[in-house]
Amino acid sequence: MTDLETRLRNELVRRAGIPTATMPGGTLGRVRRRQAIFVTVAASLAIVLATSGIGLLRTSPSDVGSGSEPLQPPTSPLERVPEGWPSVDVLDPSGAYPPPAADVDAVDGVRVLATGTVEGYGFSFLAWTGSGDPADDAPNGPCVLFVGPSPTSSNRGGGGPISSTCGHAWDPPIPEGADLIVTSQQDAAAEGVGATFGFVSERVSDLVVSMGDGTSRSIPILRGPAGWEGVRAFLVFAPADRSGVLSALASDGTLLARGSTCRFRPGAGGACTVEAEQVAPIPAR
Amino acid sequence: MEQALTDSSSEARLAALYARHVGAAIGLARLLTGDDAQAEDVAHEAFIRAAGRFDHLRRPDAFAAYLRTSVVNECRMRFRRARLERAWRGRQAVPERIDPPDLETRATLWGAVALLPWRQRAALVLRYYEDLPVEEVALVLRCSRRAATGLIVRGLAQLRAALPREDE
Repeated sequence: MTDLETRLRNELVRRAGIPTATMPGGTLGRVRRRQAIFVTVAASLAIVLATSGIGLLRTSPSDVGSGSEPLQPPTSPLERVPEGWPSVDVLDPSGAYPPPAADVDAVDGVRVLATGTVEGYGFSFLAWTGSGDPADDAPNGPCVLFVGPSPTSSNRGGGGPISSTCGHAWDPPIPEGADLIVTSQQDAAAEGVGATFGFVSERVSDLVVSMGDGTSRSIPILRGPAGWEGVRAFLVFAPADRSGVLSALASDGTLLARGSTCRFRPGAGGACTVEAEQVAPIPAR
Repeated sequence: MEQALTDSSSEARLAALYARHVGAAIGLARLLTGDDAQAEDVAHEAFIRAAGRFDHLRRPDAFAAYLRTSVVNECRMRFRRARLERAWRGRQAVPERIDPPDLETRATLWGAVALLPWRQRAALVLRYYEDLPVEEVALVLRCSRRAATGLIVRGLAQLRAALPREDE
């Protein structure tokens, strides 16, 4: 650095001073108004996109094994991933992993929320309404089961790690006491590919995952089967070598809850439970 | 800490975010506008813009960078809109009464900074006050790396020409 550059730097630092700032009244209101405008513009853009034929965003639940007619692979929002993220192919739901009946005590059958491959590793994401007696700690209410992503969990069944959970099994349960429930898992044999899934309450209109490198995406929120009241599911395959921040937002942009994705060490596998933080108070029902 | 806003605790968090970042933003705006009152106004507006776009949620770690860009954009807008630059140059003329030599040099230097075209001044402030690499200066000023380098080089040349030579 030349003498002039040094003098310039010193002079700039001196002139800038060390200001302190206290937030003036009314700032919160102005920020909220800006957020509302931002959300309105974003929602309008989304509606335009959805109604102009790009609305291929439906992940079609269907009954396991009930489809005698082969379905066309859906174009799913799960397949829309930022550059550098694990690539996802959503496949015919009829080929999803069939859960053993003993594992699932369902009111009205099991539905496939999504099934396919991520980076070539198979996965299945299933949902049902548990009919067990809560007094016995039996699965009850909205429940999901995730298989994979694993080289042995093909779209035609197969194995791999399995996690299942129900909204009422958490403390506090969703939706009565929480807006976001997060869990993750990875197969040690499927390095670099982890699945993050769970529940969001019906108050959540947008679930966003942001990685430290600046990439982020809106996570598709999936409707469950009949019997799911006030709860929906989500699934995302974020890069597993680093942790990301999950933000559950209301329609007006209010942050309701936040959590994170799990960072898996190379060669590690298994489930990873994330304690989500409830930010906004839960309204009385 | 950086999160959106529903109740009084949210206001407290927003206030903490404000306290953490806006002081530095005022300092930057002060160098870009040359006016303390304007600087506070610019920094406040820039904060509202950045928080209103959920930048503090999308990349909490990068909020300072978002805010910095918002400050520069806000200053740029104000200069364009109200032709503040001309008035600022007038206000920032070298003071008549200068006592010690060091003060004279510093005042001359600051006066020369004030006379620079706005983009050159912004480039120098970002480079030498914010310590940004040239690539980031270019990003904030929305120009190529080569153009940013040119702004810095030309700005330094003008300052050098304005200052008394040491052998004089």
